[in-house]
Amino acid sequence: MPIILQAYDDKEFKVDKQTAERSLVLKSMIERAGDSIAPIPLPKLSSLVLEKVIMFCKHHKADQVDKSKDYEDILGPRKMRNGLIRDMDEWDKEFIKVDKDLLMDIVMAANFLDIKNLLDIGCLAIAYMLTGKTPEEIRATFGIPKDFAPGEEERIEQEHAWALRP
Amino acid sequence: MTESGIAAAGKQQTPIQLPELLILIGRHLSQDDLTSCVRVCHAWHNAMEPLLWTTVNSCADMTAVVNNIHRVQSIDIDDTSFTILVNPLLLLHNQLVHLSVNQLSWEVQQILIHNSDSLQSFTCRIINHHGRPDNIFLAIWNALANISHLSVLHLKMPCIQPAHYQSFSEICERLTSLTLDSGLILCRLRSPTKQPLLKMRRLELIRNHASSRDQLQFIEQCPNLEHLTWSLIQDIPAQPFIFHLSTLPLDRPCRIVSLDLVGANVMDSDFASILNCLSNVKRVIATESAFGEQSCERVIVSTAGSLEELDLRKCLFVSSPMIHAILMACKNLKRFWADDLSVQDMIKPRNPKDRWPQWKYISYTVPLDPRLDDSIVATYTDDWQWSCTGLEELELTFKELGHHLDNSVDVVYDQLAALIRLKRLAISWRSEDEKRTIFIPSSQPRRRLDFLVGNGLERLSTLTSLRELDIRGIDQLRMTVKEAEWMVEHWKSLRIIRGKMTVDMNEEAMIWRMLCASIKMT
Repeated sequence: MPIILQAYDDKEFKVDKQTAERSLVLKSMIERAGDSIAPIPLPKLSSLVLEKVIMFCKHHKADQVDKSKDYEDILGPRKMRNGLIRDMDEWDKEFIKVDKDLLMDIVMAANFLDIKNLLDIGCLAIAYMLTGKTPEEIRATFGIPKDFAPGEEERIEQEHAWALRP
Repeated sequence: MTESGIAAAGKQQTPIQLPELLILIGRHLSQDDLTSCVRVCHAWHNAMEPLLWTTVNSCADMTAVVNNIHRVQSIDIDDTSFTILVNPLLLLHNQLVHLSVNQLSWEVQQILIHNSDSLQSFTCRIINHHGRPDNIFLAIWNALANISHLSVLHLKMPCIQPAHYQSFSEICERLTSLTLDSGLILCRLRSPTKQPLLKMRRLELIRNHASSRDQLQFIEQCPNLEHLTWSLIQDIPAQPFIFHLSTLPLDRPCRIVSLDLVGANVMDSDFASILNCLSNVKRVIATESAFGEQSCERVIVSTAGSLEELDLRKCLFVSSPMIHAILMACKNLKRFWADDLSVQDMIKPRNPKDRWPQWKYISYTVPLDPRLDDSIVATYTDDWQWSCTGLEELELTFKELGHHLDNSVDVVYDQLAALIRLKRLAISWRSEDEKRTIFIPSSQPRRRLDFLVGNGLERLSTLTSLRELDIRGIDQLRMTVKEAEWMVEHWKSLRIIRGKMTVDMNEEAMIWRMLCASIKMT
């Protein structure tokens, strides 16, 4: 029996149960509702975002459910050198090549629907945008106001100079 | 979350405003990047600062480490820091994931026991056998054997005696990565059961006192190896090693993607045969080896598409045309180190067939058809530039700069300017090289690769990712504040300069004042 998901612009998406259950939130709703499940409204998600999320869940629907523990093992010691800790597989890499705003929305959706895998690669993609940037560049990229008192940023920098690669 | 929870849509938030997501993002970042992130704003500082304390080294303020000891998961410390931290560390139970120390002691053994359910990796940098009771080694091996999730073990100067053997072979079954450096191995390495070590993916055997045959048998016992570092005091048994690599079962082709044979006493032809077995190799470290013509041919023919990292420093048989041919053919290179590249080989010859030493290397990659020879030559001369435009790290010594009054300095600048992904650039050239040609009469002053604004430095404004500039190999530089200003303006990612930017002490002080806020100089 297909599950119907409604985006906030009322567009409906039919997905199979296995795909929907990649989201732990949807999974528990499906379990509680049993066979008589009504269309599920997702008013926080635009159809563009929902479509991407469904595409991801469909591709990964046969995966082992909880990979998050494995990630813990793979993470290992945080590299003192440059570069990200873990690489994604090719499909995920292509999937997550989206503009900054859509990426942010996808990560929010993954967090809110509790889709661990998607949240993980989304965060990795955001982390990738941060690598090699100065604080000023990060603020400019994401439109974050600087709220430090004069000298505070320098003090923080001094405090953590030890963590920089020698 | 309930259905009503979903419906209760608040104002539009983004992940970078939520502390719990900032933590998830931060977990993917290196320490370097985290230090930038904590300086973005208060919210980021609050969310990500604790992550910095999960990985601690000796340079940290030890008082602060003690205050944050409950966050520490990965620790890499020297003896002095260890003395300060030993008591707080002894109180931790199943919290440490990575432990790296200089020496073994009973305290280390205790820490290993206390964290036997959480530890995943252990490194000991110097295992000093002098004046230590033998039983401490046995106790350490036993403690290591009891660490259930141990997957990475790195030991320098370890001693493996017959009494340790039981523990050692138990440990090996769990490991994904093992390094034995300068060890004294008094028993066989290969386990008596001959069970393959299926988990082992990275093996580093560096100058151990053990028979080479025994080491090879241990390598043979690890069918899933991806990274192999092997250097021996004696010669590598090349033929049996090649035999092993080439006879792996078909369903299990050689997975080695990284091969490090530093200082390997193996002939060029054998090195080439080894490379021939590794069709997917990404990283080859051949420093101080006999890597030569045949190996170069193999690199270009069979690994040009996959190779990302190649180290050819201190290789006697590596010639300048070979270096140039590799840089032209290996388009996916990310890191490359070599000595002596003659700039003359980088200059497009007017008549390609006359003097084009690298042609013989490049020609291996194109089907040999004598009729097409001229057009192929023409294609390659059009494409004279290096193909590895994704290069992130480059270390080279330029030779024969300005031997003739031609555009050689410009050629170097133009070539470097195309490497827009470069993060680390280490360039050297020697002024003796110039002195030899100083008597050639010339009307114009000789141009040098001197990194001066107005002399070519401005061509390198494309290197916006450059993080480290290493000019230790250039003497007699005379950069000024003008160059320092230029670097700050154009190389926004630059953080480290190694080497002397100028011989003028006053100028040096001024440059230092100008740069010290954003760039570290060593």
